[in-house]
Amino acid sequence: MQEITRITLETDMDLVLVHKRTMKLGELAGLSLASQTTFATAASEVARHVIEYGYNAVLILGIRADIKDPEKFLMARVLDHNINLTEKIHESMVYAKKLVDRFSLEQTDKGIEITLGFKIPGAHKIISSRIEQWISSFSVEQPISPYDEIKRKNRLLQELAEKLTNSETQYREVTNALPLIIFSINEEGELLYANSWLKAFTGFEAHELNENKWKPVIREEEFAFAWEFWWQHVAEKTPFKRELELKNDSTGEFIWHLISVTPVTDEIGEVLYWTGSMVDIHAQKVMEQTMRDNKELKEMKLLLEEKVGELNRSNQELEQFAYAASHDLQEPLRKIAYYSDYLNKHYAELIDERGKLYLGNMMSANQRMTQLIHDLLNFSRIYRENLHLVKTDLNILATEAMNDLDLAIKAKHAQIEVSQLPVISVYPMQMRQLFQNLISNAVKFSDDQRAPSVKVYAETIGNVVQLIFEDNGVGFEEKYLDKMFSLFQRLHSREKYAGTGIGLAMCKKIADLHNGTITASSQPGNGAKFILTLPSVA
Amino acid sequence: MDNTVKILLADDDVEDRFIMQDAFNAINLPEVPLLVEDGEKVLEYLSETHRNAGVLPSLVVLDLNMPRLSGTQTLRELKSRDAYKDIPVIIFSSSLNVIEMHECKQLGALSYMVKPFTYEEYLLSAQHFYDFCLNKHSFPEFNSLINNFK
Repeated sequence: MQEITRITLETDMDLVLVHKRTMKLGELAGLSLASQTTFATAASEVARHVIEYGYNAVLILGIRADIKDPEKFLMARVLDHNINLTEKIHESMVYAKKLVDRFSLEQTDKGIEITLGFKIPGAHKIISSRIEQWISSFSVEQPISPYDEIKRKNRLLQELAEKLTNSETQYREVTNALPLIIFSINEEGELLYANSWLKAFTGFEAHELNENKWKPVIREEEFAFAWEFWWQHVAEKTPFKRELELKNDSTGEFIWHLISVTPVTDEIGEVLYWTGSMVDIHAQKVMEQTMRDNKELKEMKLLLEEKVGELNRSNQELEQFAYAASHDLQEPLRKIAYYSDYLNKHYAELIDERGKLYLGNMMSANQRMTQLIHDLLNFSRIYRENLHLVKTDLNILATEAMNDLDLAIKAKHAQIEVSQLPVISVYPMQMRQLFQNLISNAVKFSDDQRAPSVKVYAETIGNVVQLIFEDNGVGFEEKYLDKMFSLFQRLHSREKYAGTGIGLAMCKKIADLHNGTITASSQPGNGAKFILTLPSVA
Repeated sequence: MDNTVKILLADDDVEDRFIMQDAFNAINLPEVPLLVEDGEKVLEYLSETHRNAGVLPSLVVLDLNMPRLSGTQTLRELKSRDAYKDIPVIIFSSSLNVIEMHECKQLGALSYMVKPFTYEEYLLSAQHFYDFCLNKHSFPEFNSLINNFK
């Protein structure tokens, strides 16, 4: 059935409408006046019945124009929501049934449906465009009565309201589903509306935030600034944006948001209220911060590199100074040595015993000074050259060092036992110096009671190599350990053991040069053990 | 005594020059050393001798640290001139410096010596200089000096 018009059935006034419309439809369909009246009477009867007993009923007028069926019918269908209506059916229905060609009454779970069909004679003339015309003639139909007019307006209004409700519901559903806060707010900064994300994110309803002025969700130190910003921009009546951290209710974290607010104005430009959004831009901010940190880190690195450069330069200058100073110190020293030697050779007979003694003291003082400067030169030279690591057989270095110390070793009847040492990458000259210094010390600081015995051996522990120089000499008190490796530090008087206090400082410098360490252990009178630890990749 | 042997010694230190002369006197060769006070004087003496077709010294001994023209600069000058490049040059320094040693070797010096600390050593040095001129002594080569230094 194709619908042409519909009439709600509420009061007796509607019966008049039913009658008039049915008559009109009959007229349009080309029924005789008698037939029009018959169809109208039948429809009115049914309508009267449902107005009396039914609930929320409607009459739909239409046409049944099935292409396959040569016969066409005017239709009047009444829908009623009272499911118990059939019980009330009485003769009026029976009467209506007699007036029409077709009659049906169906009961559904929603209510009852009564359909009347009235055959249209000469129906072949009815084509679909005609039906369209009928539909429009009903919709523009002049109101028959003020009641009809009100009723129609009412219906339109109801339809509009329904559409509005639908679209608002839809809008709310959409905005509530968005992971951003959408709101409207008045000039006082009071929320008028906010989507559900506000509560979901902040844990507060709009009215709660209006009461607490957003205090719990804005950082304490930002609170005053944020409001100041608001008042300032509201006064300007133009859209504005601001980044602000809002506290997330579930995590307690402050998350960066971009707040955008735009004024809504009336036709004369007065601001009615403001609408806006708060979007989570935390990832972006974190990234910005990371980039900034990264930049700072890079700048810091540059600064550090600069400092290292400066340090290296000043270190180098210092070494150059030490070298030049000791170099120049040698010159006058050589003269003193030469003249005292000359004096001693040619004029010793001319001076008395005390003079000779003093001359001798002067010469030995001079010798010590010479030795000191010589050692200092060697010490400062450790960094002086472009060094290259060379895979070196440490056994050979040990042998060379022992050859250099041959005189001292023989003089002290020292036993030196070198166990199989590894082949590792070292700075050979420096490492040989270290061997020489440590072996020389081991022989020098010997106990009068026994001939020096020195053992040199290696141990591999994990990824480090330890070279151990063990002696049976006088040893030392371990509280002096740190002091021992400093420049010019001596533990013994010059009378007892000669030396400049540079040897172990040099060893430490050489160990450092190899990214290694040197330490020692001892008990006075029980010999000493010097341990050089080198990374095995060195 | 072969009086044609001349050794040109340059040192800005007046005491060193005196000591050197003293040493040559002590070994009875007072006429052998020609002592000048810096590198410029070395070049002046050589060009004058050369111009007068005189006999060039058999050996030049240079102190390193001299004002105006240093030992190495003088050495470079000498080795760059055909007339002098065959004159043997010994560097006579107050201290041992392996970098300077390398530089002097590169520039073509014969040898590198550290100035003595005793009278006896000075006498020996003077004798060696003289003997070298008579082909009776040879100085250690640089490579062995540098190796010793290590």
